[in-house]
Amino acid sequence: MTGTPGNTPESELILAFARANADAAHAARARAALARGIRWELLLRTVELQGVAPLLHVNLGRFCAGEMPLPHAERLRRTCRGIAQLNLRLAGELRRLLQLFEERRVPAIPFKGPVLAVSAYRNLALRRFSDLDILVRECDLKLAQQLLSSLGYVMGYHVPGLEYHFVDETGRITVDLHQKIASSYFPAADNFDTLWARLQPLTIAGGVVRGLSTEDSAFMLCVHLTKDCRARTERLSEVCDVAELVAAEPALPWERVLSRARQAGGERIVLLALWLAGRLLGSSVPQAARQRIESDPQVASLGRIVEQRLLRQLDGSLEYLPHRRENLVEDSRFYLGTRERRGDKARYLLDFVVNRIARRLTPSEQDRRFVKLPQPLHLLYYLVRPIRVARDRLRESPRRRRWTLRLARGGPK
Amino acid sequence: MTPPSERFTVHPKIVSETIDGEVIILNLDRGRYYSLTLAGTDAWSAITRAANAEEIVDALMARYEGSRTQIEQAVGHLLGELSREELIVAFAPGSAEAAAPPANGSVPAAGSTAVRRPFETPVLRAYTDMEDLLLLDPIHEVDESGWPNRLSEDRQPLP
Repeated sequence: MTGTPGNTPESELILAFARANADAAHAARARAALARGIRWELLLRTVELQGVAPLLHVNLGRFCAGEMPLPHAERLRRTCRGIAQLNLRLAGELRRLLQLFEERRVPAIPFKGPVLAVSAYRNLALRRFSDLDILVRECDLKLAQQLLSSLGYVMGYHVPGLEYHFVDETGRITVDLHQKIASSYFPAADNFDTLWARLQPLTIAGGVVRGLSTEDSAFMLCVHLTKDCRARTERLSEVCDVAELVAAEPALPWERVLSRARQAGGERIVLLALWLAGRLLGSSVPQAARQRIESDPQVASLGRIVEQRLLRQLDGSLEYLPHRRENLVEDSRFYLGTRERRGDKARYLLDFVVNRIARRLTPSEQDRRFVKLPQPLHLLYYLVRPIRVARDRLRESPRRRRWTLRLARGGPK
Repeated sequence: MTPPSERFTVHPKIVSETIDGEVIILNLDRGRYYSLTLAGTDAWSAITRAANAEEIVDALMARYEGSRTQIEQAVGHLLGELSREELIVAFAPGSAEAAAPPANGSVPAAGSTAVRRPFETPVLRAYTDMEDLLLLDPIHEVDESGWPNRLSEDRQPLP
């Protein structure tokens, strides 16, 4: 392995073929990588984790047929067939759900998933997705939940103010019923009604579905990529989404996308996504964005952090972890960097402080175990908590207390 | 062979997609998956454009080396199988299904200059749910130690 992240044959091959329409130059880059020798097991694991297995499969078949050892080729083919099967099933289910919502006069906007695969990749099988995302109005939320329940869906977890997670009877189809496209920490270009007025028809699985306009879709993809970058759970497939949309929609008025994003305080988020697509996948950065990127050094600075992390994941030197590992300083610094308005930064910091204080003061399960109080006296847990915490601190051994203090001051030496 | 006036189209309850020359077909009502490759993929492509049997044979003749009789028989057999599995429906021109654009013009004519491959009889493969159930979603179905460790039943992923 070399010292430069992403300079392994595997990452070269992935970056060459992580696109729906590879050309001769991409094929030449891929052949050069193949000539250096590929660790196929690592490659397959990486493309599966990064969500780009179908793109590799299609392009290997198109340009480098026979180069992959048979057992690995068979595994990749089976994986991609499985993805296609699942995507078809999800696409069919999306049509059924939207039809039901329409019959019951519940305006619903599908985003990501099948809509993204068809609009950006022009093929349902090329983008792996695992659930359906549907945005409804706040006032329709209850009815939408009832409709899903009437079809046998069961509600799982709920992210307050953002989404309700439903699973069907087979356990294979999940639907995220959204109140918002992203959490309130991230900018929303427009409200439901404005998005609704701009919906565009597209054909999914033989039926016409109305999805986000290309402009709204572009903004949504950039926001979701940045959201996952902040949590350090980004995947190459998300960068591909932006690159494929840029390629599929050459007439997309990026000036308007940027202008709307700027009004919502999310211009840097769009620029960051375009920077990553250009840097990692050679996507052509729209003219309107190029100048803005050059005049905002923060974009490249944030981009390089994500780029290095992704390249290390591609070359196998950094394990991909799907769940967020909370690192308040690192996450907050990245998040604050993506925001361009002082007000947004200040709101985040205020929320951050309030949440930290609230977390310290709010009674926990440990407090409830410490002393059992009847329901009418539950407010008293706010008084119980400091007593329980003080007791725990006193019980800590002096050695452990010293270690804890050292950790608080900057980690063990 | 079916009557020349009879055209075929994809059943309304069917969704399909092509990846790397393989058509994956799903019957939404029955939940059954199918796949076609090589000549089967080309035949399906013609059917999506509402072709009749003769046009499907012409499309295959343009791409594969084989006698017309051999290809006609294979197409007849395939159309029968696809109909039995309710993946396609036959219709007469002028009926409601005829709204789909006909294959004329979009299916390459016999004698095309493209390199032709030896003809193999198309096989419609049926699958159970197996392959998509084998898939493990690296984002939603793994535990915190990472892929490929499956999330246990009692632990839901963090939002």
